Amino acid sequence: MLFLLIPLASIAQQADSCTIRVSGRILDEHDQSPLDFATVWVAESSLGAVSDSLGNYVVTGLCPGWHTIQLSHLGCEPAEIRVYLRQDTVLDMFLEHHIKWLKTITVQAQRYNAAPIQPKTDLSGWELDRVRGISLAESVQSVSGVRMLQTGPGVAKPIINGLHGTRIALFNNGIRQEGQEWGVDHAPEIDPFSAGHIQVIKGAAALQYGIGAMGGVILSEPAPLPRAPGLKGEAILIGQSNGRQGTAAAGLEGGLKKIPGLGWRVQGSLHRGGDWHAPRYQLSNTGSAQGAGSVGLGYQKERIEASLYYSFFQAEWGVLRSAHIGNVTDFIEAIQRDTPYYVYPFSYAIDAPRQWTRHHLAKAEFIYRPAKAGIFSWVYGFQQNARQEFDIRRSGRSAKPALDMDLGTHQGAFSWKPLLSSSNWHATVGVSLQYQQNRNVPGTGVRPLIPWFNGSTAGAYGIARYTASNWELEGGLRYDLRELLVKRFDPQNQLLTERLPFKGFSASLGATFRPGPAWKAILQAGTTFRPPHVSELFSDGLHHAVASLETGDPSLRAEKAVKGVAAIEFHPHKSLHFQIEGYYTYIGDYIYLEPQPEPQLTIRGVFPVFQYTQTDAAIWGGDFGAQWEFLPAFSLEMKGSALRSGIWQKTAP
Amino acid sequence: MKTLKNLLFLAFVISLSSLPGCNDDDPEPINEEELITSVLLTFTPMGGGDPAVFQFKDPDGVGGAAPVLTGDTLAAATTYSATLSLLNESVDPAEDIGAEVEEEGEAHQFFFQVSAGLELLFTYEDQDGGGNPLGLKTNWTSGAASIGTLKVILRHEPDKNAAGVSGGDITNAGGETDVEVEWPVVIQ
Repeated sequence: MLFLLIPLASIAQQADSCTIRVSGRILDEHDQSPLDFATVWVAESSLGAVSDSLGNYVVTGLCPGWHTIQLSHLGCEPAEIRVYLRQDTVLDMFLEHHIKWLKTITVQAQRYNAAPIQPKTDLSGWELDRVRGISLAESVQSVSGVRMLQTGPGVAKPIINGLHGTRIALFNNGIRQEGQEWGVDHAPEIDPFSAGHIQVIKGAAALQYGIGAMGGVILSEPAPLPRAPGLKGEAILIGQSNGRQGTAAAGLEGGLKKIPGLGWRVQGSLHRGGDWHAPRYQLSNTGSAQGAGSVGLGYQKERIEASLYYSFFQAEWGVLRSAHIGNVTDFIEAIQRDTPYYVYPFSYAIDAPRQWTRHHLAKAEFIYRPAKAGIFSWVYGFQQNARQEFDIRRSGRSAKPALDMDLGTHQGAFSWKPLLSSSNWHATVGVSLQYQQNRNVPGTGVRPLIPWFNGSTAGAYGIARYTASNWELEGGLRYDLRELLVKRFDPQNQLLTERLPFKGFSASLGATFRPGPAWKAILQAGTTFRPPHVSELFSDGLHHAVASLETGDPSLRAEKAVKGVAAIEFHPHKSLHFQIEGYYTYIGDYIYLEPQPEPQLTIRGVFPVFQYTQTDAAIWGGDFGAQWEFLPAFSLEMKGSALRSGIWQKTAP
Repeated sequence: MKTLKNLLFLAFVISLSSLPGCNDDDPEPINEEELITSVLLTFTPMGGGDPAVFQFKDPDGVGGAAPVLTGDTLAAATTYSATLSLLNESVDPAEDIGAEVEEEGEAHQFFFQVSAGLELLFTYEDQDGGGNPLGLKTNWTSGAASIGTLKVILRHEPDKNAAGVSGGDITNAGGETDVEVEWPVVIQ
């Protein structure tokens, strides 16, 4: 049972009904003087407004979604922009008047994010509010085709179209999340409370988001920083009976009157939970504790936008005591047991086995829009991810982590959206760089699972889009280089150093058709590659959670994926919405754990052996979703997904 | 000019991000602290004579070279006192894990499983701090000539008060298995 949120202020962004308000000013590009009597017309909704003597305009009653905003002004050629609206938006538009009244018009809009042409689903407003208090993976499960891999009450990873871990990419405020995502029991270190908007992109090769995300991309974005002076806040309290859990979250944001365009936000959340219970017994040692927070500061002017962001996430999760096993006999016994062996009275204590993680993210972003050159943007992000796992050990060693890893990642990206002479064409070119180092903190007394490594990645891409009145076409190409430097010890403690280079192209082609106002079709195909993760290359040892021996293979090649997606959205009435998607993913050299015929004898008994190996695989399926808002604020939803996968053709060993 | 400025800024960002890259340290080797490489079960005839020694040795731990199992022969209708020894021989000098187990006697218990047909009976001859059996010391009585296997299991954090556990029945013991070794045994 989940009982309720207590909103203290303004959860006013109810994105579901057609109540969005777009307002702003229409200004002269050169001297920022207001333009009066300019006409703003939103084609889809047949709503419009005329700017007043200060250039102000307001259009209300818009539905969430894509809109074409047409602008016209005396002596200028009409101009058009397309914007995606999900909440009340301030849109200042600049018309460029040349002295001789040349026919060129530049329209620049805030928050116009040219999302790739791929099937995508957005969660914002009340859709996010109703999933508050649960993990990120659980939150995005409301999107059809997205499932989760859950290994404990609070520990879950998202799965998009059957792929998870290193085969999908998570972005926290524009920075690719870099944690120990290779582990099936490692949940992403992102606080869903920091997000004002979560988007799931299900196509392959969203080129601006880097390589490897053959399953899809999840973008967790904070709400835009406020521009207007004033103060706004929100507080949320959540209680949950199972686990006797409590969550508190609060946020405060505002702008400064003295410095127009300067906005800030402070936000945080705290969570504490005890042992969960199944219908007949307590799940002992499944408590959790979590704390997270973020600070954002941004400055916006007509031509520049600068922002700083820092976020923090720390969590501790207990692992079900009865799931801790020593060998195959214990494993079988634990599964066959009617009731778990260890059932203690309810407790908030988190004992070994348990995991602890802490993630810092710092980001700086600068956007510059010179008058005739388009938009330049620079982003730099630093992440530090620490993870400790505690096992049940002898001689008081349970207080000492059995796994203690520290992963630092620097990311830099530059992109340029040139201003093209034809308003039908849009282009983006960019480069991105990443440097990562993984270190094992000494003192565990256990050989590390993942060796010491440094990873360096450099990539460059170009994307072009052509927009016509009822269709759009987008194509892009990307090239990436990655080098891994790995230092590890052989069984005789001799240091081995290896350099592993990977490189390859990614490409994407997509089209959107809008045959009528109610219909939208998307066709997209992309190819990308994923260099093997260090865990797949160099794992060697006992995987305690499943009582098996896992062996990596340093000769693994990069996976190469081709994914095709077709999606149709049908919106016959403002209260009815249907979407259906089909996809086919081919993954050449798919890396997986293959069971080996010969088990291995150890001092703990006989263990099955699994070896990382490659084959050509295919995953195909379809997702379906329907929503009907039969009364204002009440809606019915239906979702369905089907997925099949198989081996394409076994490669010779 | 503007482009140049942009490029300079980009170069600045890149240099920032590559700064910690100079850090080319080497990792430290880590020795497994809780590794058990060897299990020795020594049967000494109470009436005197040469002891029989059952050994399991895996000096490089999990993976690497296969472990070496050495069985032995017991005499029929004889009583033995047996001692179990657990060692980590991957370090020099070898570490006595048996002592560590004895120190934490209440959190450990050895179980002995004799295959059907092998005529061999045992009793625990030692106790933990709580008066429950541990199993580092045992007494054994052999019957008539027979062939079978003897399995030794070390459980960490068993429930010693559960039904049958103090009598050597593992069924209700729970806990995690730290050692599970099985030797062929011949009684002649």
